[in-house]
Amino acid sequence: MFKFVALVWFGGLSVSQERGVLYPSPKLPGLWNPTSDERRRLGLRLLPLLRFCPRWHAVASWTWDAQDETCGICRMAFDGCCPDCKLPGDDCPLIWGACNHAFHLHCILKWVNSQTSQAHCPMCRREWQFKG
Amino acid sequence: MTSSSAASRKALSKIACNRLQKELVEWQVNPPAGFKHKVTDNLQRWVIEVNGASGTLYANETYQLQVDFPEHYPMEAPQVIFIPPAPLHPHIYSNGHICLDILYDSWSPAMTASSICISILSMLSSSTVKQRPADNDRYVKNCRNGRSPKETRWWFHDDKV
Repeated sequence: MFKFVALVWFGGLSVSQERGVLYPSPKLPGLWNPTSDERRRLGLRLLPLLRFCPRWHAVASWTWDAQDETCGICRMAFDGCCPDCKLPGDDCPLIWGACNHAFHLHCILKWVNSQTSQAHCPMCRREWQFKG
Repeated sequence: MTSSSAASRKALSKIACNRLQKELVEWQVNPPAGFKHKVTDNLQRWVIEVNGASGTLYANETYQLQVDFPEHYPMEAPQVIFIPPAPLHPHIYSNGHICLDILYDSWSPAMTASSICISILSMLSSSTVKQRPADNDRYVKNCRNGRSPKETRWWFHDDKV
């Protein structure tokens, strides 16, 4: 009855203190790893190394898996709630009939309870029965 | 003048108010052909101008529909009548009451003011004769105290017009 959508993305920067780059970078040929004494003398500082570090973030969203986007009774979006509710989702669920037409539970109950005889589906006029 | 039943004069419920606002916006964006909503500040009573479709008995004629929405719309049907003079039609009484099942027993909350208008225009367009219902005088006399057509026990027998 729900349709879930999961979003995952990678990325982010992390700061590593283990290794460093020299600044300002000395114009010396070859590999040279100055000691802390030499760095102080030459005015070189060790800057933290910025590394690209993969990590993942995820958010999930949901929508009701109904044929239509709006409730045929109140005309409000299925992903929203009926006009008498404040929060969509479990507080204002959708309900399917045996004919596969969906409505906000609160809306179809108002219709069924307002009928003196057997209520029919507002969309197809078949006898309304809740899908078992 | 025509009156509405006591129930339909009660203020609209939240769901009714919400739906009517949506219907009005939808009407403004996509009005049914041949109809014009007369702008008022009253959401509960719509006055709609109907133009007879060309090529039918009612071509070039203009009538006015009055639609009164009850407190519990759309669980309850609106009251729809023609403001006299009503078109001459075998299912329309001279007091403006319309014998059409979807306005009474066959109402469904999935229907809208716009879909009712289309049904009424279709009923006019398929008419082959301009005449009043056979029991017009008796019915209109019975309604003299301003009774709503929703209180009538209608008998629907003709599915041709």
